[in-house]
Amino acid sequence: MPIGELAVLASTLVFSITGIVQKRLVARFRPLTLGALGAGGGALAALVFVLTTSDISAIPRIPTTHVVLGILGGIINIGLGEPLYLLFLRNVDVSKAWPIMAGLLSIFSLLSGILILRETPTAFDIGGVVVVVTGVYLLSFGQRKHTDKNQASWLGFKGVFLSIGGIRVLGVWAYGAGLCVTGDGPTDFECAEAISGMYLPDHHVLAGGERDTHTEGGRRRFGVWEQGQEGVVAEPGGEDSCEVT
Amino acid sequence: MAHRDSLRRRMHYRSGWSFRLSGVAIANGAGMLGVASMLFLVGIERAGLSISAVLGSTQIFWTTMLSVLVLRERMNLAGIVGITAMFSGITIILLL
Repeated sequence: MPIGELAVLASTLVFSITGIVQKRLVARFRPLTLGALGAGGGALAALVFVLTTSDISAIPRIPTTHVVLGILGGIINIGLGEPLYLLFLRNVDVSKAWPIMAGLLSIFSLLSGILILRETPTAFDIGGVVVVVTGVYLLSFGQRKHTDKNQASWLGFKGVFLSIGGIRVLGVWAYGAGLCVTGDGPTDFECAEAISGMYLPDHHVLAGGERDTHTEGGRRRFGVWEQGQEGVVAEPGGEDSCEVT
Repeated sequence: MAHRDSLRRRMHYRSGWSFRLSGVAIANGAGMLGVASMLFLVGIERAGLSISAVLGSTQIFWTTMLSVLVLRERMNLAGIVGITAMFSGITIILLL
């Protein structure tokens, strides 16, 4: 199996293990405290990554708008969204909390693409959303009868839409929408990443390489284009063009 | 009596705080927000966003499996169907 796929699978495994550990820890810490400690650890790891792998001289060139929107998105998502998710996790099994969050985020990512990037939803997209919503329903409202009273009270609208969906999505939108709508996003790829919930600042500066978008059948696709790799490059200045700063 | 209970709860919080657990929480955050995100980024760079996103959504299965095995959480048929539906839906959105 190629190294890229292996890396993704390893990342999902690490995410899952840390999710399980988080469930254990949330019983010992207040959600806000645990969120702050986790964010501190994440920031340290990101700092090590930046200092060891990136061209540090490029960092001052990151536009102020990106920094401000990144901080705003981080405050809302990590500062508000994460503690609220942890509050939800404290009262609900991780086998329910995590899938519900993942399912809702995928729906909101699609909505962001439609509303911000002006993507046209296909019949498959709508069908996919219906299937995901069914899954969320089965895991939340459908499980209320089979759980204890406390957990059942959290597996309703309160837990699903307020604790997980709303606040986190606001954070994602504050960053992603800000970059994309103001036209300050260096590439549409980065807008998609931001909307999908990845907050690493200025990937293209840190990781190097060029990213381009192309259109297939009226629908925007995102991908990584490198030398020697097949890909369709958008026309410079065209609707789907991207600027690499 | 109520005052004594309140004091006991506060003492429990204080005694519950440990540097070792705080270290675990920080390391866990570093693993989740640092290592896992970096690996995912490498995956996007090497394999492309579409494949990475679909493979990334298998996280639902990993987490559920681990929670059942490690935390002894219970999962009934409706829950299994729900998780499978969610994974299928995400795959449909991402691939088709």
